[in-house]
Amino acid sequence: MNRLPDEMAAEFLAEFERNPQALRLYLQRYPTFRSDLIGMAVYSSVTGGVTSKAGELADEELPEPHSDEYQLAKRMADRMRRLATSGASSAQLEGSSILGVARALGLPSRKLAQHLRIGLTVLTKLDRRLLDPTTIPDRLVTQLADALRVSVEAVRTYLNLEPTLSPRAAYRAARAPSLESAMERAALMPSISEPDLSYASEVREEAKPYTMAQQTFSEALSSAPDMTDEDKAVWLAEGNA
Amino acid sequence: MNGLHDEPLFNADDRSLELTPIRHHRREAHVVEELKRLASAPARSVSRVARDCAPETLVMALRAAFRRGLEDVACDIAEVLSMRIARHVRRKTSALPWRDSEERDDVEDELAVILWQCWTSLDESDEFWEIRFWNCLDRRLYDVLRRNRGRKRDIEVPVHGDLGGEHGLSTDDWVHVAMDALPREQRLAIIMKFFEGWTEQEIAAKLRVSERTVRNYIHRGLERLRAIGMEAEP
Repeated sequence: MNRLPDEMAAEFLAEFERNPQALRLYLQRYPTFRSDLIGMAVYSSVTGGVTSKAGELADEELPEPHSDEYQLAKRMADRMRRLATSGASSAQLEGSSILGVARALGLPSRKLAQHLRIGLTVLTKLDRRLLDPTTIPDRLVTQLADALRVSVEAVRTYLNLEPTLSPRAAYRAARAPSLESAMERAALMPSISEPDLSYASEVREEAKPYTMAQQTFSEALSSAPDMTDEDKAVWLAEGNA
Repeated sequence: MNGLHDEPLFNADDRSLELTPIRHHRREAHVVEELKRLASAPARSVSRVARDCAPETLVMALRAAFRRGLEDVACDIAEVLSMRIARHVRRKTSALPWRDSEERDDVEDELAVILWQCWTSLDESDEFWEIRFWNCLDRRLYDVLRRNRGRKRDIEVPVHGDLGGEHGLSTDDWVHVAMDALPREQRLAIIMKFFEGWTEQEIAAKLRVSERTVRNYIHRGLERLRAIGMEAEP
């Protein structure tokens, strides 16, 4: 969505406060900001008008201690303090993860999944880059960037990195074991009087990084148990899903 | 505390205090006066000295502290600003119906995150906070409310069926026309119901009228919009 610069938004809201017809005028003048203008007009109407003049609320009394508003101010200030210490205002995902940045912003994984309407399963796969990035809808990338307050490019860069295992799966071997290879090797093993170190070095040479297969976005959707059919249909209808 | 906490955040002789950092805007005279007053105070006491200053002054001070790495000072100033805006924010959020207080708290928390990012930002687009604080606040508040309430409600807007058949208006046009053409009560009732997803009971409570009156507003408003839609046909 195109967003009207703050200066112009202030002008519009002041004008709209005086005369609702201003919406028509601004829509004609700035058609690319249509959705933003309508949104501002709607919310200023339903929340009781705009605060258009500088210093208009200068004399507003501070909240009484222990009042609801006081608690709200304290909560907001605490949230800001946490942000200041977590450094979550950085605009990059480098060295972090989708869920890590969301947590730093005070957004639990469950809520982020709800917000994106993709279910926790798909969100976790996105976080671990287990989905083929070319199949992830552009709209989802944009919504994710908005939610994490990072650039769309930062999200794309993140999604294009190598897939990762869950941190809890760090104990896994470099490659999956198979029963056949283990039995063949056991048959070839000499007596156990001396340890055969060549075997270990051979394994080291043969070992290749464990590569995880990526699913397409639509495969992930179809196997997601925590998404409604309606949400699945909405995302499947997206161009590159 | 290190030495920076004992130094002032501004230099009173700095003529650039009259202009915003990227020099796009000239500050209000009372803000310049307040900034000069703050220039005689050590950074660590700014949040106390600036308690009665304009919020535009406080944002400028917060940014100066943040730029110097005095995050504790910046956070103290943010707390003063939070106290200043709490009533206003609560008034605005209370104007909308919420499923429960937790839902409203989440939105207010999201607003806090956005405000912190705006107040610590050195981006050109956030400079206007130092000129028209309340406008910028309302703007961010509308953004957050729209994002949160909009995504939770799949509202059936009576566009095609009710407003002129195949020549019906788009959703945007529909809101636009409603804004333009209807008396205040009808406009609010229709936008709340069809754009925002309020129940008739919630609208009645908000407008302090009976549910029957709300149904009346909506009925008459739709009649009027339908007439406009028909007129709009080629």
